[in-house]
Amino acid sequence: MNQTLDKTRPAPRPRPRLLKRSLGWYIAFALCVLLAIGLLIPLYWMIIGSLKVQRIAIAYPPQWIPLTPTLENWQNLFGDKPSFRWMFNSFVVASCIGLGAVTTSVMAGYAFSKKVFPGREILFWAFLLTMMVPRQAFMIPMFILMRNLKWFDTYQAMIVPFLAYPFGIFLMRQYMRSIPDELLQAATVDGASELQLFWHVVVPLSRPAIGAVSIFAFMAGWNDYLWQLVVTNSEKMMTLPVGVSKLAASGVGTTDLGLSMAGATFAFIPMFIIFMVFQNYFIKGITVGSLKG
Amino acid sequence: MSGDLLARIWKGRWGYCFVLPALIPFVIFTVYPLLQGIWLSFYKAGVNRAKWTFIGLDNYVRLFTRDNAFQIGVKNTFLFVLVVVPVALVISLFVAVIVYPLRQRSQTFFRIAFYMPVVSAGVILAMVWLIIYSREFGLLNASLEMLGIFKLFGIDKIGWLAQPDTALLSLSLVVISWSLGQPLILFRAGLGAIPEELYEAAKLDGAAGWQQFWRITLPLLQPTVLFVLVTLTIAVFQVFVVVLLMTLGGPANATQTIVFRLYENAFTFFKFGYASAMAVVLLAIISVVAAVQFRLLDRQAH
Amino acid sequence: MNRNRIAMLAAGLLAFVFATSGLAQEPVTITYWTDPALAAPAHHPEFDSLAEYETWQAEQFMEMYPHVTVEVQGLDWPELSTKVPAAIAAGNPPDILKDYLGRTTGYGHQEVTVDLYQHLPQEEIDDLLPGLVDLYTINGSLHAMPTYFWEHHMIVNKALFDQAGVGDLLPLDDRDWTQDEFIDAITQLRDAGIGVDYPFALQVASEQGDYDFHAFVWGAGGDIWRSGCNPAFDDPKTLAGVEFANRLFQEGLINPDAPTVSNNDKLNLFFTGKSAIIGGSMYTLNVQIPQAQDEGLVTVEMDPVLLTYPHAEGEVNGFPAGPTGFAVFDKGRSDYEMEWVTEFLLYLNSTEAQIDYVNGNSQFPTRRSAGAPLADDPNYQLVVDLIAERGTEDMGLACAGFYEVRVAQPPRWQSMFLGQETPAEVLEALTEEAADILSNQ
Repeated sequence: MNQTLDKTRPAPRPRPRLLKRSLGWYIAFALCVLLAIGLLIPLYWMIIGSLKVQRIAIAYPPQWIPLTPTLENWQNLFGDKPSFRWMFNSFVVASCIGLGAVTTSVMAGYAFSKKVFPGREILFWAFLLTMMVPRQAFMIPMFILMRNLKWFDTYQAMIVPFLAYPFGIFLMRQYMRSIPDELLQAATVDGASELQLFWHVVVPLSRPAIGAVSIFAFMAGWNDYLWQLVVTNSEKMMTLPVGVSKLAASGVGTTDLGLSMAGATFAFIPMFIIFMVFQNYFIKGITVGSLKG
Repeated sequence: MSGDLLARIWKGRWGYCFVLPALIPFVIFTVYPLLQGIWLSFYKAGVNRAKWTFIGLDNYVRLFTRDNAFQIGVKNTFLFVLVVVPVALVISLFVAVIVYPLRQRSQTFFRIAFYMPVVSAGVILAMVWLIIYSREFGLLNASLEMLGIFKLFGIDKIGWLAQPDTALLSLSLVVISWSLGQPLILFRAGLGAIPEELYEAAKLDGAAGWQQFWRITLPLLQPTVLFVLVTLTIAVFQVFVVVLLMTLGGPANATQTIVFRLYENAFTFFKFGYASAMAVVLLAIISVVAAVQFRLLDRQAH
Repeated sequence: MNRNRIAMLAAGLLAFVFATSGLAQEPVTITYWTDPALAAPAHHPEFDSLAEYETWQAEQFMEMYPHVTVEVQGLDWPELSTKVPAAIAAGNPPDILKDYLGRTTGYGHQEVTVDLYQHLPQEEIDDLLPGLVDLYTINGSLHAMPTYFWEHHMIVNKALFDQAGVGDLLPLDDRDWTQDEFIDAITQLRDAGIGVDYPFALQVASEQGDYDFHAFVWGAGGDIWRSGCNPAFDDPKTLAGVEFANRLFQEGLINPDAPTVSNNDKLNLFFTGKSAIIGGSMYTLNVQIPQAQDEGLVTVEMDPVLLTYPHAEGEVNGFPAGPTGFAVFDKGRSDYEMEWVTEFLLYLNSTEAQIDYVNGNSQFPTRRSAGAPLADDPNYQLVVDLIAERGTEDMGLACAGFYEVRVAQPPRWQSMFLGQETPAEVLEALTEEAADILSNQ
């Protein structure tokens, strides 16, 4: 397959109709709409759940629209707990992971797709292989490592271990394979140094994939719960998912649903905004390259 | 010979430089703990490090000869993969193809619907779904009751998570709901990279509708399909949160999975060595499956 | 020299001695991780969330001893089961952990706790209930210091029975009923058609709250654990008890989603009157139900009474009692530091603290000197009398492998309820599984 990607060409309008708008198409479209609505229901339920008191939350039949909406849960969330501090912590952690992971991924992806060096394939497969191990499995060795580094209850404990992001490396490598070699060679002929080549040619060409990887990594950092739970100790170092889940836990194995939903909605809002702002940017032309290799 | 290798290494020096920033944290925080985990799998290891003792392959022997729950977990994990991966793949591809030609603005609705579940914390979504599935107080049974479905079939309310035949599917549905967003974005982007002329040419050949899809779209999306297939498979093999929060592996082990069993052994029973052995087995399984996927699709591509 | 001046001199000297000894106190930092108070003590209503009461306690202590810093952390359920073992294995445990016996036992058997016999003054140990001290002694060392315990029995919403016109079937005189009387009463209740679809609300989804189920076994004269940490799944009376519970389920007297129902939902069945009975304790009666009523969760008339579980003809079932204690971890502390850890432990578990705690949570103190703080509560007296009359049941909490055997059970009860296995098959499998688990400790 020799698939090239020309990002300078403006997107053709009107877009190609992959399928003719026949009756079949309309049925298919209706299915998509139904599916989308189905996926939005749990989110809708989460958001209006945050406006219900516990009693209404379990009422049967359920109330689709809360008849007596209340801000009680939100007041509890912001009450005397440092919820904004938790959000700030989540931001710091997720941004650093997003930024760091995308940097290492672009560089490594470039090396794995365009550079020739002994051990390249082995190294790449090593990265890929570790994606396959569940994190719960090496939590204990990781924990021992954290202790030796004296990193408990710090930002770096939540950030540094995730700076290498195999999923991102994999994605970058696949993407960069579709960048024609001639383009890079041309730049080298012009006398660009390795770093110039990387910075002025490779990075701009990879922009869509960079956008995608950074948002995926940011999200991974934002929603990571288990690790952040075990490495934070003090209330001021907790992240949003950790703080909220502790806030909602009430004694004997039961949960305050409304409060959990308020916390989840609170955590969801920034992600929603980020997504809306960046969506056009990172979905524009990203494809994951050619298969062979 | 070795001089040759050295020369090649020197020639590829920039490759190493570019890999290095990823490699350093990778070695320290992934490879090293992982190797330690593998080493631990040959030990009887509890919370007291002073009492860790080498027991050779005992952990592995036990896994395969005595641990019934683990074996069921392996089977169920495969079931999860077999249900979730194809369904998520087909649906996201299908939606991408249907939605792609729409105007940007209408696409936004679909993007939100499909991507927001990915963005929200799995922990919370699992909790919401738990309420939805509740037999007595849940949204799902309430809706079916309202539509008269139960009356129509003359059945009682359904305990979605309480019956072995519906529990695994119910959990799969939750996993599918947050597995569609990423593939959809990648597929949609992949579609954008297919040159329009190909479709024009196909039209001249008289290919229309689904024929175009099979002849042009799908083959050209193949790299994306492979990428999605592999990453999705890896992710579903590690299915855990839904089990922990919704069923604890029940009813009667119907939703027991490898990673849940691993978690239970490590943190409920303090058997870190034994849990590590499970992780090694899981790693072996996933890498074989991923390798097979690569092979099959690679062959098809030619 | 007149007397005054001598006195002044002496006072000055004394002051100097105290001041210097005060200065000589080296600073100590103690970490205290806690399974937080279930509810705030009645006279401290200002505390309403996780670990606030414990934080207040620590502040009081630091005021008394300024050279001591206490770092308090309230843990929720996932933390107690992930963070704590990970921290211990990494060599970074807290100094003191408050958790229930079933879990501290695991730490005790792994020998990561200090032997409190070496640190607690004899009179402190003598003040604890001797039965509990025995229970907490693992391989000759006291692995934790018990602080309170709960009892367990049935909580019955009498209002629903009255509504159905079968209130007189409840044994309110001696609180004792046989299995037949029990089935008769709840069947009539259900068939009265007042919306009590599943008279007894149960969950066998998780090991949490498994005594709700075990109590039927004890009622039949069976056991889960025999003395000496022997699992009793092969006891014919255990089989009878399990068969009884299964019969309740198969006859629709237990909620059909019991195999995986969440704790929230189980309680809601009771609060909304779909069920009229749950397993519970004084805490359920005095804290949980009133709280639910405050939140408006209770949608039916509620008149909770306390009854024992039904028993087979001729059997006497006792009460299970689940204690929680303070484990002190071995962090290689110096003698001086250990002194302060012990001091703080004794402060946390003082007679006054126990009374405070018991008042808020309706549980039982472990110190004899705490007396009976809830003596005014008629149910408390009732429970004390019933325990005196019927004794307690061995929950096996202190056995090596306890937790693994505990977790092995729910899947089996589930498969029995679902009709995949008979009670006899289930118990046979559990006998084998338990033997295997114990041989592998």
